[in-house]
Amino acid sequence: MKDVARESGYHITTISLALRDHPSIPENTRARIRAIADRIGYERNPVFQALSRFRQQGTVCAPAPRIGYLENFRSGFAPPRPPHLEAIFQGARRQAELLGYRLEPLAVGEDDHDSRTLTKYLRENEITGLVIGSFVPGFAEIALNWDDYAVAKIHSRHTEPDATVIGNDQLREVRLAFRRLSALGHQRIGLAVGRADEDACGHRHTAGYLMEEASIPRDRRVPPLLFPYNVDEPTLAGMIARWVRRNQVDAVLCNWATLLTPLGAEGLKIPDDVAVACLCVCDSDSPLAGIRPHLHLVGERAVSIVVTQLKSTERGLPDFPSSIYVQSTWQDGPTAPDRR
Amino acid sequence: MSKAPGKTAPLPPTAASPTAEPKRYYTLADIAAQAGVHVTTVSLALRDHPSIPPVTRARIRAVAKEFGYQRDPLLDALNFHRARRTQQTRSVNSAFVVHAGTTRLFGGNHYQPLVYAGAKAAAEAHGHALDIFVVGHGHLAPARLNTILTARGVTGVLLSTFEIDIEQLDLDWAQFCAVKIECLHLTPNLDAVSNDQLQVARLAMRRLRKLGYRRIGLATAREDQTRLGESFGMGVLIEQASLPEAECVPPLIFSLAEVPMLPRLIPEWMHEHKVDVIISNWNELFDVFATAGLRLPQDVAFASLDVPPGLPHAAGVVQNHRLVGQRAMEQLAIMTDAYQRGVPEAQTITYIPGYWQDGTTAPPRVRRAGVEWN
Repeated sequence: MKDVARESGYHITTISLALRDHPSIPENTRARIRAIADRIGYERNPVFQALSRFRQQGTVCAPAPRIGYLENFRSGFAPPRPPHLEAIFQGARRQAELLGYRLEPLAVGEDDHDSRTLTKYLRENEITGLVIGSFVPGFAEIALNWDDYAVAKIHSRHTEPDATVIGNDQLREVRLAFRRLSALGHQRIGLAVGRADEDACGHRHTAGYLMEEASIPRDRRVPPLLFPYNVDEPTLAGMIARWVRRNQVDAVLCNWATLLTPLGAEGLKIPDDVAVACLCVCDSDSPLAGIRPHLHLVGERAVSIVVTQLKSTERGLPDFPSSIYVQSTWQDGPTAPDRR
Repeated sequence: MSKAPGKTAPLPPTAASPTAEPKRYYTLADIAAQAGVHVTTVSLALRDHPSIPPVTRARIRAVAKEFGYQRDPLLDALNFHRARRTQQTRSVNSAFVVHAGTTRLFGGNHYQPLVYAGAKAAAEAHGHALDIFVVGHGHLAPARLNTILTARGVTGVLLSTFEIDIEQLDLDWAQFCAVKIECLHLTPNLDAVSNDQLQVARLAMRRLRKLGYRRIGLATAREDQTRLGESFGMGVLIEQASLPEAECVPPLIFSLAEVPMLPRLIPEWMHEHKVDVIISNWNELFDVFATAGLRLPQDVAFASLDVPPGLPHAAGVVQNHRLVGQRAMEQLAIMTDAYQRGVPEAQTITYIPGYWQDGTTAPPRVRRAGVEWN
């Protein structure tokens, strides 16, 4: 505002009043000041705006500034989030609240926002911070003028923008799980993950798996099963069962946590016929052996990155976007017993 | 101290006249009065500053919790804004710790100075003084380093690349905020910032294939593979997974002891697997090619996986070493501000991507009659 004052020759209080359209300032003066403000790129910072209202009135009446949390899979009938996406969202929401922001979930899709309506909504509500919340490949995507926003992406590697990406580390998770299963005496370890997940994480499951396979004898290697988009549970269980039998798999590494019952229906007894290690154990008292990702930290970190940009009024995408991976831990469980 | 009540709790739904209501917002001053300490003590205690005894910190935190005190985001943003506008007067001491044995790394020796330059620039921007400390053989022992850092009031520690034979660095980590640079193998599991070697290798494979190369061979040291979590190897494997069998060249992984034999090993491997372009993080291969009488790019093309500055003719991927140093220092500054000391609950690793540079060592491959490149 000081810059606008210098440029226009008016006092800073005049600028302040003019930009808030105060009637005490003549209309053509207001227009002139607005034009100068536009030219030098002055923008009201919603954070400071809330602060000054607080100072004037001694209490907070401005709502907390908002950060948009974009999701693309909840279109139309708004199904609940699957547990892993819920964990990320809750972490993001808590961190936003801790830092004094409100996280607003915004659905993108055929029955919800498209790029045009979303742009309008964000402008009208002065939302400039965005988290792309783990977009699911195969569902709607979005194209905004990214230069206007502070953005961080959770996974969502298959889609724009080229922003900082935060995620759990599928590559090191697969390697950790593979080594644990090997140490437990499992010989033929197979990886079964969805193409959608692979696309969203940049094929990091397969990268880790191929590296581990390269260090074991050829006769213990199992070709990974990459199952198609949007497959339902019974179909998937059938595919896995056939793949297990064809390749004599001893232990399955899979990122679906709900497969035990459907696999049972396919006649596979766990762990007698085949051991299972889940790559995404989200339920805190789940008996599954596998990887326990710290998904709330993924959400937290994404919000922290957006808030840092908001505070510094940085907008747009970095020249060299970082990838940030939160490491996970292994837990033993009866689905992958000791075979030594 | 402002007498205005701070925003700490959401408004109850029945927001009547504010004067009639009991006090709803609490500031540090309220907590200080209740706890019987000075307000700055409260401020430090809530940020977990080590100068406040742990017992006092816990007591003050309990009082704050009872009051429902919460940090104010708006004031936080304002502080951030003001800190950036005013000249930094405070100075935090941070250390850039390197291992005595790492000067060899990547041979060209451009790596460590660039990382340091990036870290130094970020340190200055955040009001940190950054000094280099060398540990290891003939230099400081870890215990001695710990003593010096403590004596100088150093709170932030950047650990730059350590060799794989150093598996652990014993400092009293609870005292320090620390970030590792690249040495993922080093215990403890502190947050780390690294070049994205997996992306570097994948990018090189893709660009070379676009240039018409079909037998791309990776040559690297086993020690580098271990130190970098096999990232180069994985990048090649994941790209090969979507290539026809005829294009998959097994990598040449040599040990440091085998380096003198490279002028023999490289041509043998090249001919056995009909390699048309070699990718490697070893820029010493330029010398190896000269010794072996191999002409670039007539006999074989070469793309570096770590193009050093000052080699504008070299094709390959430029790693953002400076940005790695910068990001590591920025993260350390955030941790120092928040007094986040010790080993984190879950480690995070930040990877910085590299970018491709065209060069005469890997020109577009001339199309042979009857062969279509896609």
